[in-house]
Amino acid sequence: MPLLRADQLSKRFGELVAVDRVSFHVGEGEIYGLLGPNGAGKTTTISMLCGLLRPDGGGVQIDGRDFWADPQAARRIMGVVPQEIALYEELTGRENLEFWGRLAGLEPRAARARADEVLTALSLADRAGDPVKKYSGGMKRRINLGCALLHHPRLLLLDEPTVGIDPQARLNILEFIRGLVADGMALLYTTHYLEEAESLCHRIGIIDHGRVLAEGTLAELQRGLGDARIFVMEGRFDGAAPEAWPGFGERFRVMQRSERQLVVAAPAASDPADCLKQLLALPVQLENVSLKRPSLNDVFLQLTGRELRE
Amino acid sequence: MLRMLVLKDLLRARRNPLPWLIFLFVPLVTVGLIGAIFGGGGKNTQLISRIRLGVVDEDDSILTRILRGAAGRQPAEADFLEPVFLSRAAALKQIDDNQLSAVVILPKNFTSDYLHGRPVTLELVKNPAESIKPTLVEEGAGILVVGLNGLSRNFSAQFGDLEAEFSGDREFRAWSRVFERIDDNLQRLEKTRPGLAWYTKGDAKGPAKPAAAGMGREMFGYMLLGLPAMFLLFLGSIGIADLHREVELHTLVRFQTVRASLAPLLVSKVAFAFVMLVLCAVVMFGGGALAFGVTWKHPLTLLILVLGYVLFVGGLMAFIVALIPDQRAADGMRTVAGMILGLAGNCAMPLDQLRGAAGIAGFFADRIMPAMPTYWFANTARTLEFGSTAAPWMLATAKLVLLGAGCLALATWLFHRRFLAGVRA
Repeated sequence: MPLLRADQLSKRFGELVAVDRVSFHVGEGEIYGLLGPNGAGKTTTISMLCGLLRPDGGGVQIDGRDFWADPQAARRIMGVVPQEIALYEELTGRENLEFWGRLAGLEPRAARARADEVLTALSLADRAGDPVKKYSGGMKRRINLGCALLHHPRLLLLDEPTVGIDPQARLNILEFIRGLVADGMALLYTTHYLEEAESLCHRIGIIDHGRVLAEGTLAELQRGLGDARIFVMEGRFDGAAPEAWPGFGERFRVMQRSERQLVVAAPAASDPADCLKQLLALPVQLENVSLKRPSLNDVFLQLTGRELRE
Repeated sequence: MLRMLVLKDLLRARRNPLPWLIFLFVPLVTVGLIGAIFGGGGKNTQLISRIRLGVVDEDDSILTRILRGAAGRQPAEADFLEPVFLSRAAALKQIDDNQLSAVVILPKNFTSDYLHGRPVTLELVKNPAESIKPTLVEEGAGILVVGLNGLSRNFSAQFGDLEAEFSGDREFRAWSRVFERIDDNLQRLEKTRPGLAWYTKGDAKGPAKPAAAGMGREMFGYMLLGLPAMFLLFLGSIGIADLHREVELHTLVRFQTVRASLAPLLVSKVAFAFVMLVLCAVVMFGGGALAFGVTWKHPLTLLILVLGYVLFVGGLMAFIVALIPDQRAADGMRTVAGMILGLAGNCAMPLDQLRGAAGIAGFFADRIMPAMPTYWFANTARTLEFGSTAAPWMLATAKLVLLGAGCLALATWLFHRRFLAGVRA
């Protein structure tokens, strides 16, 4: 039985449909990634999952029980890491951890002991007594994450926990998260970083405009492109009309085009060398053509018609 | 949990005390500055610093010499006047040099004209560069003139003898006979023409006793009950505004991910503001009294009144925060509300002197000002401590508590509505 199940979740803000019938589930020891650009509906979805917002439609089950049947019990099972740093800057790292731990129901002594454990795990023990306002961005992110772990949650919801930090700090956090999952924790991880989703998540749901467009493992999503070969052509494409090029439409599918770049997919059965010859023969001035395997970005491109970084 | 939440906020306030300290000490410093201008604190009880007064005696008679001598022998307690005896030219030069506050000139033939019942005119030259001290000298000159006129009306019969004594070179025995007759006249006057109006200070229980604190300290006390009351509004604003800070820090959102109900957080903020206000009130009313040598006559009653006022302040500020979700707008509104309530409530300026005045000023003082909760506190506290009538402190406290509780109830309802609508994640 999954620890978290979102079933047809919907939320509107006036005329705007922020989340539209989103469904997925997360099991123990699994990282489910919700991948989408800014404004796709990730944070609204997480807000409904943790009780910050009531859904207009659909429901949330935590450990098999409806969230709103006993919201406090559901909250005890989960830990939430908000996208923004949510810490008291005047308090030290240790005081923040202890405070949130005690608020989650730990006794003072247990909160103190657990704070020590978390500080050590996050490699922050030597700075535990410093006020948070003196921490670097990466350290604040780590404490922000740690505050959700004090009460040993079985389910962790992370809303873009690595936004705005340097690559090394990001790697440290991702490594820490992998360790949590190894201990059996269930994780929902929202991000707009493709690399994080590809390297971290067991299953990924691609969300855009409030809707989950595709879901599965990375391999499953890539297979959704039909094992296509992706050719990236660089040159001058302003004014070009690929659909008018003779025979082009039968052999290639345009995935993305701009003035300087044209990305096309060819069927897996086609010979790459033949494809390359045909592309070089096109009535357009090419500077470079490269062949690559489909990535998650290509999947997103295929599904939405635009890149995730746009 | 409530205790833990309040302790957390107290710890945060201790780590970042500047906003509190500013509003805590501004009223005390203001009281101290005004006191330094109008009178000293501690042992110095004078209303105003020493007035340097020039005296030009152009008559140079025995009477004017007596007046000069009297002016030069001020009792230690009334050491506010520093008379300087100069020629007219020297006195006027010192006025120009801003070394004198005023000059009183006793004209030639002053004694002779006065004792013969002819009009005399004292000449007063005020230093135009000063405002308060010359005015005080002018008031003093007016009193002197009234006194001289009173003397001439009652003792004109003896003036002839006195004139003879002053102009001649009579022996001591003759002097004593004149003063005996004056004394007889005084006693008869007391029996036959009792004064129509007298001035005394006292309270309802009995005749006046010299106040231990003196007027200067009373003024400190008067201000100490007003300005801090106004600044408690600003301090309450800081305490309750911490709710907005929780939104800004996203800790409010995190709180909602841990606890199903926001009520503990709201209650803790009010409790935190209440604790801080009580601490600040103790510092301002207690510490201020110690610093300025003011003795509260009814400390327990004053404490009860202060607690009622603190509850009102907490409730009012919580209501404003609940009513206006936008932090900047709420900040502005709280500041404006604090200033309006403080100023209109007679906390900062003695606006009660406008009572009975004509026009809008009178309407304000008679109708608007008494409706201000700040006035309920400040006026009651002042009456309690310095008034001659019984202060309705129980009524004032009850009104403040009821109003504060009402504001809190409204704030709770408004917050509940807001949070049901959803707080942005």
